[in-house]
Amino acid sequence: MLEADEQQHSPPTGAPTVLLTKLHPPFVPAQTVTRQRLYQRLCDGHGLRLSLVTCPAGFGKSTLLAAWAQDEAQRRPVAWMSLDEGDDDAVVLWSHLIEALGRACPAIDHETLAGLATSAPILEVMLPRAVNELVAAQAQLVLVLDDFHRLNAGPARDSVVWFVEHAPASVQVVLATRTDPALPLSALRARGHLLELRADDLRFTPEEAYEFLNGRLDLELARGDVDLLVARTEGWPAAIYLAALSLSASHDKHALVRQFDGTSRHVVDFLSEEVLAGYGPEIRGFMRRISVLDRLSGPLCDVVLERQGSADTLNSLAASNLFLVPLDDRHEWFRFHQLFREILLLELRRDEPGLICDLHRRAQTWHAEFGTVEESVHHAFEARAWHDAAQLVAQAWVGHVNAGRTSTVLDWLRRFPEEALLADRRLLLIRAWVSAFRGTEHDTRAAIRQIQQAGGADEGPVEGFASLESSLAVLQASFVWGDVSAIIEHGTRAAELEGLDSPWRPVVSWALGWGHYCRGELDQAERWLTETRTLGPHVDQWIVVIGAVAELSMIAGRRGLRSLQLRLATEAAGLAREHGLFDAREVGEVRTALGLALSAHGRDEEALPELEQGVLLRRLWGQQLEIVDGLIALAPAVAIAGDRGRAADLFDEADEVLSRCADAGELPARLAAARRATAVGGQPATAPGTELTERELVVLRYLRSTLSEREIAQQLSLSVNTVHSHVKSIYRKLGVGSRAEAVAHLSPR
Amino acid sequence: MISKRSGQIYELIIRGELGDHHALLFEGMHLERAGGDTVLTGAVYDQSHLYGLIQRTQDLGLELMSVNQVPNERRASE
Repeated sequence: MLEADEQQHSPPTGAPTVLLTKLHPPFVPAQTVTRQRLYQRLCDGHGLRLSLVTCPAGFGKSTLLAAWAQDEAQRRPVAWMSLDEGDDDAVVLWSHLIEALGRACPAIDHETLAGLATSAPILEVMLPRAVNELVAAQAQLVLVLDDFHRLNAGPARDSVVWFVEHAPASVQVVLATRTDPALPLSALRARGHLLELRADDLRFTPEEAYEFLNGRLDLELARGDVDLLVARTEGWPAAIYLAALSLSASHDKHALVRQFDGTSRHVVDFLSEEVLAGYGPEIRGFMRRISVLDRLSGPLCDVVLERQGSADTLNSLAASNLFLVPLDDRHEWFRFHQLFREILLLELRRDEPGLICDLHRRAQTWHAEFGTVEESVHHAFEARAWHDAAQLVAQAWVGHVNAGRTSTVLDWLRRFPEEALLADRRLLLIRAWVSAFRGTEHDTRAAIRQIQQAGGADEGPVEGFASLESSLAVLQASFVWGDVSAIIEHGTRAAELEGLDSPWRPVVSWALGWGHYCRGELDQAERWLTETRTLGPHVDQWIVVIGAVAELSMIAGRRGLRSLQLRLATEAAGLAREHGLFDAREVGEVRTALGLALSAHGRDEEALPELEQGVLLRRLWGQQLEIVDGLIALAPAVAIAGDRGRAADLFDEADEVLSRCADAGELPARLAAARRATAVGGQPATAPGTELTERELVVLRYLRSTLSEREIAQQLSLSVNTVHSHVKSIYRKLGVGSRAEAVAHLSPR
Repeated sequence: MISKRSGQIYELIIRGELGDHHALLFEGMHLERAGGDTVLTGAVYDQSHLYGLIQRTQDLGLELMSVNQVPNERRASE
């Protein structure tokens, strides 16, 4: 087993590893100038909705914020997260942020929140709870997100925007970014809710530069030279740092400054060449080659460069080079400043382009052994080692999907060239499964089509399935988007191919159980679901086991066996909680089953929130049959609680969803029955304020018969016109267009 | 030499003069220094390609001064 890296916090299987190094503000070198004027501005952000530090690379925003955080931590706890591309996945992002917030505010229940981050919908369930916890704890803290521009448009970024808009005022949210974020900044600015520090604010003033170059680095520059430097670089901190490096190695500083002033070469071009020329060829080569790495450690560099003693090299370099920064107190891990790394990468591409693939391959191997999958995959892609990358992705994807990290897997798949993807049916299969889990029907169908078109011989077992065909059958039985006959067709085929000892068999039997349930074939459903319940635990297929027990509960309910119904529902709920799946969108049926069982025992007040949550989760999961099943359970409960209008809306929603189903089994009949049953005491369900009058009710009951309007008028001693207008009014109030529909709103005789 | 790939010709102007090897950052673009600035010219496939180039300037903290399509007449005369 791998040595536990103390810098990683590894929760139970599947959940993202929290890299603790990302939660530490970067190391603040001793030579950093105290920029009091800027610290004051940052403190002014306390109580405002958003504090924003936005400027291009090389302006020192991370250093500034780290230094300020160090100072501010004496007054308020500071939660920090340094973002990178891997965090563009809401689950990964919030797993880290919850950990950071938990450390800053121990009063919040960060364990529950961390569990929710991986299993429940982030925006709908986890974040509101997190905000409530912060409010309840009266949390006074700062939350810094560095490099916010690494998040692209999508759920991760949206979740941060939501948090900024809803966090309590006592939590100061600071975003550091290179590009203005997609937030309503003008509105925030206009209302005075925004603190902004931009490039011009972060430029070094001549005083700050003098303090840095002479006060901290003892370069003994004449004031005139400092002024020249500041003017030439326009106070751009990265350039001043580079200048400092080259000046410290220079014999004639004044001449160098003059030379710099006199050239029209771009500051970065001129200075970086000066700096690199100041190093011996061995060190220069060392730095250049390790630039392919994001994080640097001694052992990693040794393997990648096929040398020894890198740990010492890194440490001595960091002592003199401000651009190499330690990531932890023990100085085991380092990172180059992004700008400097770009300069080194350029050098590498110019001087040793042929070496780049090899460097990435060695890094890939090291990370694979060390257990950091994401970095290993990244290097495989950089090395264009598509086969290796495919292998790594195939090993990791199931765990990632189970931990809700479908975005990460999809990003991996996108990095393959299309030809490599189409040539590897295993990858196409993964793409189909991941798309299905994300609820994107269109993408899933497209992926399945691609697999079928790719053709070729079936090469035997794949990802634990008996064959590729079997995996497709299981997929198409589990994700049907409103087609019960598809469940039966594909499920039956899958059952032929996956034997009882296959790890996927419980999924097959669950699918068939659900399919028969939707058809009202309860005995067959029960048989299949019992198989799932028996086999599932042995192969850790908990999602389907929990679903199966929930559905067995609902079957017991349909048969009128109330005690069994409650027992099974409680068992399902217990299993769900045990596996952190109680709020997971994959098993919304647990909440519906629990609600129904409670309802059956007259515990209506407890039942309603469970039924509501069941529908919320099942809507997010996106499978039409499940949504309708949930609505059929919820609507009557809502009506009983008194909100007839909303009940009617829920029934209408179920109708609309059914209209998109190719084959919904007996669900339409169940829906109609539920509608009828909801009309209590002869008064049909109408919107509040539009109840039928006594006269109209009488006419409505007459409509049940075969009498014409003229004959009804005779029976009631009314004029035909009167009866006709009553009928029109009835139709309008019930929202129907025909006699049969109107009559359906009456409870059965 | 301007690339003969299909696509629209674009010209990006960056403040400050960059050495020739910076062309490696902007694959397929021709790099020229002029009047204290650096001019990158080349065929750009599509918007994704264009935004990729712009992103590269951001990574090195370069100041992007202008992004322009080169009209066909100018192209023909070069």
